[in-house]
Amino acid sequence: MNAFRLPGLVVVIGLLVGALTIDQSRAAPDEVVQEIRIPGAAVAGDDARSSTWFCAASTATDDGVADSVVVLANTRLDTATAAVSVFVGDSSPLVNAPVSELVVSLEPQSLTTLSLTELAPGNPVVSLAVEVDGGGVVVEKVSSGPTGVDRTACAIDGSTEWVITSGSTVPGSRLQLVVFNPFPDDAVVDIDFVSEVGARSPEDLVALHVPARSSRVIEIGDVFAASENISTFVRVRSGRVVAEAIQSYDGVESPLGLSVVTGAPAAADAWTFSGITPAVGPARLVVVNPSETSVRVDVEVYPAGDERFIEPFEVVLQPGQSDVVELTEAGRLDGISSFSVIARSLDGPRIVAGLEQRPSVEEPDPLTALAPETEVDAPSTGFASSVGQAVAAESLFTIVDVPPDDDRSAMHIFNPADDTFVRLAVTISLDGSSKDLRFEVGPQRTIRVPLADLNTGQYAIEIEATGPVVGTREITGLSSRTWSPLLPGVDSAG
Amino acid sequence: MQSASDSLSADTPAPPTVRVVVPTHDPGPWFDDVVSALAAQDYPSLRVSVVHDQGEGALLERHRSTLPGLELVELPDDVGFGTKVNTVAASCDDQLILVHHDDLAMEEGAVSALVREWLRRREPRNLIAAKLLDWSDPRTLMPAGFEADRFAKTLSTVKPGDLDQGQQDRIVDIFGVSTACVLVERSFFLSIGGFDPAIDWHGEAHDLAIRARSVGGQVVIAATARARHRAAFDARSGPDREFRERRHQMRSALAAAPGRSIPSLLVGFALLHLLELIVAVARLDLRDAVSIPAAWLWNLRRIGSLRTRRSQLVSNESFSNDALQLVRRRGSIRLSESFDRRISQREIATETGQATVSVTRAAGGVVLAAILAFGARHLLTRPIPAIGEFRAIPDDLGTLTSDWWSGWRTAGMGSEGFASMALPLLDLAGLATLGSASVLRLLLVVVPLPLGVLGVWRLFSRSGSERAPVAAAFLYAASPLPYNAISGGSVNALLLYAALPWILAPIVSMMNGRVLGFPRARNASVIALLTILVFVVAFSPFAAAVVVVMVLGFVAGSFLAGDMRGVATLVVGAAVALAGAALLNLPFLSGLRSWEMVGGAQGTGATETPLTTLLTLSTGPVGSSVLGWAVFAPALFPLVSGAGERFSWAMRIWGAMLCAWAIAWAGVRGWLPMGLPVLEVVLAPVALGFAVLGGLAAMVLDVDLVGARARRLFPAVVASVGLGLALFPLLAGSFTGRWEMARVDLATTYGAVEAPPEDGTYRVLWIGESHILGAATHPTVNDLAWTVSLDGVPDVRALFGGPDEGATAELGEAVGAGLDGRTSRLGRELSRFGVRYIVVMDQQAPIPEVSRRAVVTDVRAAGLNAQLDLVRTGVVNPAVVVYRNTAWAPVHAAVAPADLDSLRITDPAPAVVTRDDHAEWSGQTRAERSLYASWEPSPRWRLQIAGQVMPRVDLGPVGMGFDTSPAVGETSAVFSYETADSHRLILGVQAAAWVVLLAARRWIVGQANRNARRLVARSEQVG
Repeated sequence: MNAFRLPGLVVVIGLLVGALTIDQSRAAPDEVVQEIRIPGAAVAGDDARSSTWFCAASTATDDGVADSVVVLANTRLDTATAAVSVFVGDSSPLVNAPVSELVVSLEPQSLTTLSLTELAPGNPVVSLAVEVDGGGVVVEKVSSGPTGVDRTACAIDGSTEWVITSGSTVPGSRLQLVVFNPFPDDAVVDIDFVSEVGARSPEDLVALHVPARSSRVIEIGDVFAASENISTFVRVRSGRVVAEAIQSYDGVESPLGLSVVTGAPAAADAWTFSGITPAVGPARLVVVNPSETSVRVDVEVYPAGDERFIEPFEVVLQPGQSDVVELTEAGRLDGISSFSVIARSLDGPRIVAGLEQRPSVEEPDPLTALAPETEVDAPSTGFASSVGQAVAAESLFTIVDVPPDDDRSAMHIFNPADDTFVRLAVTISLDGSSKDLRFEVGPQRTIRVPLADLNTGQYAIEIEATGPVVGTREITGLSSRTWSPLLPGVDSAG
Repeated sequence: MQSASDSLSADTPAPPTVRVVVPTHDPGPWFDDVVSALAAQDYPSLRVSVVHDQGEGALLERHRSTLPGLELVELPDDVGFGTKVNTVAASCDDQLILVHHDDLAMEEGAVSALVREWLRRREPRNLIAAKLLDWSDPRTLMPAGFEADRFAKTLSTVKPGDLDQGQQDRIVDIFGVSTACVLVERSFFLSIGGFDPAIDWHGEAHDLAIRARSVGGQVVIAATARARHRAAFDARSGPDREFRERRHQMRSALAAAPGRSIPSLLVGFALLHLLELIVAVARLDLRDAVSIPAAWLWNLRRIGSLRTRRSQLVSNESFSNDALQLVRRRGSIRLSESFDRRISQREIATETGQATVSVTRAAGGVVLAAILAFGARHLLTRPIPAIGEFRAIPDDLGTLTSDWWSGWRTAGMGSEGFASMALPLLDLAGLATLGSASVLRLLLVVVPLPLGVLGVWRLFSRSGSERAPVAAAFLYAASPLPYNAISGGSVNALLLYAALPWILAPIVSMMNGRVLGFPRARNASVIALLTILVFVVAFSPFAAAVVVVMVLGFVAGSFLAGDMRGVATLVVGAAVALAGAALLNLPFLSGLRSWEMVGGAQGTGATETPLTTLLTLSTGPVGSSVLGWAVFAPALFPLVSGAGERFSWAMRIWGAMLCAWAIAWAGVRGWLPMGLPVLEVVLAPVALGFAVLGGLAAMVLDVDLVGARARRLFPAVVASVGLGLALFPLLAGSFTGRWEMARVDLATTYGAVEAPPEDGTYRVLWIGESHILGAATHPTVNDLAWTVSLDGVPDVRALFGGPDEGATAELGEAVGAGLDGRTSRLGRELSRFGVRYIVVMDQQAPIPEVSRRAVVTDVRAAGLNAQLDLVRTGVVNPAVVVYRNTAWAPVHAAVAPADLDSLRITDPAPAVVTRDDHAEWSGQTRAERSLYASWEPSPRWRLQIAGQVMPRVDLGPVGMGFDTSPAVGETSAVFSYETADSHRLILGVQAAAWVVLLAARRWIVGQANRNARRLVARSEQVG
């Protein structure tokens, strides 16, 4: 008997079995990468060679419902240059539509505005592509019309799929979809809807041609029956587009309001909404399942100021379906002045979630308004709608436009971590100067950063955090209210 | 002893007249002795007829003086031996005829002795032959009598070199005799049809004997009739002895068989010939193999004359097959002879390390070859798709050599450097295919598989075990690895699969591995290893790393086996060989400045590969995760039951396999700091290891377990079952006929990146996982890689990359920025790199073909979709996405001088569009415009307009600018790279070194082989 036989066999078989054991015990591999970019707008970091913003939906006619001014906020310490291309569109396809271009110099830590009604007057739809030589620049659009004012960040990318979670075509409301193709090749898209009355794929919106470097506007009310909650799917057969919706309420049969919503270009596992104030009005979460399998969704609620555990809302969505979670109508949130929400998919398929908050027709509870950290008066009017934030980030950007005598506008920063405090450094820039603020947010808490100390005007705000956070900007004007996520910086996207 | 003259005195009745018939065929100087011997005969009634070919009469006339009464008969040249005898026998009136070769010299009194024997027996049907002795050494016997089987195969009763010690004198009756010197009664001869006219040379002796035997005749050697025989007719009868023998045997057997025996005889011939055919093919004895069907065809064509000849014999009233059966040898002499020879050869081979061929081996080889051919039938008969690294080869012979000779490398943005010797070698290989690039591609895909299997076979061919090479070769062929390499388009993996057995052979030899055959001298082993490595490294530098892993595994295995013999030699020898291979490829290797150029970029395609997949080698469409484990049974068997060197080598092989697995596993788990090539490359030693262990298992069965108790045989049974199960994937995979290789490639899609030459030179940027692109790549963001090609789809030269430096690095930075969204004008950024098209590859072959694919490359490259100056072309197949750069500029562009200053090309026009050579373009440029060339800057590039060299404009790290204003209106330009003389000198030295190496190998290995042969001879002598 060879003395080395047994040790040799033990070594060989032992190594094989050991390696197999280790290999079996390793964490299950991540699912096949479906999406690696941030679903939604984000601010490019300093390492970007350029960054591009696409502002799709704006009107520039005399009776336009959402004439826009584009605000370019340069948070950098150096001058940036932006090449702006102005595209036009209509309800019918415009082939070889004229494109005007201009170059704008963006001073350091300053804001620059461009009026689209001046750049392309008389066009039913005006869209914009802003190419900046580097990162650190935020581009958003301030839309205004007879029904109100809204602010929304422009998109940073085209996509082959867009989901706009909510919209309404009931009497007194008007819903327009703008499909913007800034790219050099034509796009063909299919547009589908799902609402409380079922799903629809209008024949006119199948294989819709969107010529290169142009936009098309679709009046949803013309192709879809009156519905209270319409979720819109834009699926691209070829090319890439940007999709935005203009929702307006005439104030006759519903509260006055204007909302310009950029769709979600991709689904995500979880969507976060921070700083929802029930006192403002009923808040409802619309969860959409654009995938081809059913999905279970938990809607987790995190009160801003206490540690009360709120039982999550549970939703089951069939493929291509949407559902509405009436957050503030449920009794479980009674007594909570402000909270943050995470809509989380429990299954593989991903979801898109949006928040809609309408002004309350009742006076807010004075006790709720006196609660700590939530000293805010309910607005008299205004309609807010936005998709949530799919990622938490260590740097957040936004532009705030502080109206005169405003003590209600604020930023809400939510720390989704369950055991880590996060310190925040807020830099507020205006006309080349800046102001720094410091805050700390506890785990699963939301902090409200009031903007009341700022003078009237537009500010670029950059927040640096020691951990991933999600933020919301809430700006309340005389006749409008904007509630939208802060934009993450892509360098630190979580 | 009583003399003939005494016996045949005048008192006795008149002796029978004897006609000596000497058919000649180009007789030599020895014929004088033949005639003299005839003249010296004392037989009184002797007449001699020499039947010669046309034109020989004049030469033979002179013999009349020596042999008065000599009759010369001239017949046409194409007449054979039998016809010549028949002619004389039919025309003379002598009682006896003595058939006499023209290289035979009878001793005095031989004729009398023959006649005396004939008279003594008083049987007219007898054949009386003389005892044949060696022409130059009469003490040595020459074959005279023979045995025969029913297939007319004869076996001499005399072995070569037998001394005449009277042993033949006691033989009374044998089956047949040589026709060198045989006496027969003329009337009897004619009654059995004489010699067969169709049998010209070879086989006439058996034919005469069997016919005489069939009618009751006997064959007797008259010991007192002695004759010296040269037996050198082969040298005068041409090279087709095998053909004649085989067809004549068939004819004479059939012509003498009774009717009822014909069917069984034909079946016997068919079975025998089938077996012989298998053996002949296995031995690569093509002459023997071809002679078998040729014999059947020859006899079929002569079936009429065969029937006539049969009827002549069968009509004889004495005809009987019974007598024949008594004297005919049972079975097949050919098979017995073959078996005896194999035993003898195997005994010698075991002693001396020579290769042997047995029926087991032959049958195994033929079956294996048939399976491989069957499995590759569609690859052989249909075009090979351009999948992965199976790139096109330039149609023009010399193109690759020209590239190699130039000092400019076009990979990436270009660079100065040396090309691999693989390029001129491919050109040389192209010579063998008469310049057919498609045939060469076919060979590069198809040949490695049998070449590797042959290498494993050869590894065990000297082992002394009949089953070892068969088991090893079957297991190597049954490995999923080469088929997954074919399916995945991995030339490197196939190359290693083919080369590793040939690399292992000198390694084993170096370690004095007697277990696998007779060891060579160490210097011969080292130079043999060096020679193989030089070639392999030229094609795949990573092969050197694989060899290092194997050597480390052998060292570890030796330690575990407690047998460190030869380890130091192995380490030193391998180091010398690797260093030598590196030295002889130094110019090329010196340009590999990053790991990616050696081992490939890190990809994510394999990161989810579980260890079980690595262990069972089921890394692609071929292979079974269940049956893949079966191979472990024969692989572990030598460890369990092997002894001596078999155990040691099993442990060494396991060491190498474990090392290869460890590297591959660490790679897929992301534990390595660098990327690895495709898994089939890394796991190639494992495939070889399983095969070698299978061979060792067979040796253990043949050697270690002979006579073992049943308890010890249980592992053998398990191993055998495992081996059988492990072969199933091979059989199953063979049915597709193309080893799961895709049927078509992306040629249709690639058409989108072809552009007319007048548009100017352009680049195509290819993005995907390194393992998908099938070219030398550069890593970029999102675990992707990129490469560029010039003017369309890359060819085989794309397998050899360039350094990721300078302009190429700048291009890589731009690509990364585009992929991760740091720019929205990637097209504009790429314009200064001459990129016109971008191809994002998700899969190597069009969907739904089975091929290597990546994990959602399109998503990871989604940044390209956000570009404002890239147009996505129509989707031809979802496997790839093609973008057209709307802002592209030609590689050679006539630009406004201001564009050179701003480094932003705004209005380019194609210039110098005709490619004359590897690094030379000519054509028109534009007046009052500068030339921009998007290459890595080098002072050796020159722009000449009307023979005048244009001044350079410094553009920094990317591109070269030329001010054309001195040309003043002239636009005919030549843009070329001037290769340095020192570069060509180095290449010349390198090529010379290769030649010297090959010569040295030939000399050293030849000497080692001669030594081995001497040892063989010595062993035989001792035996």
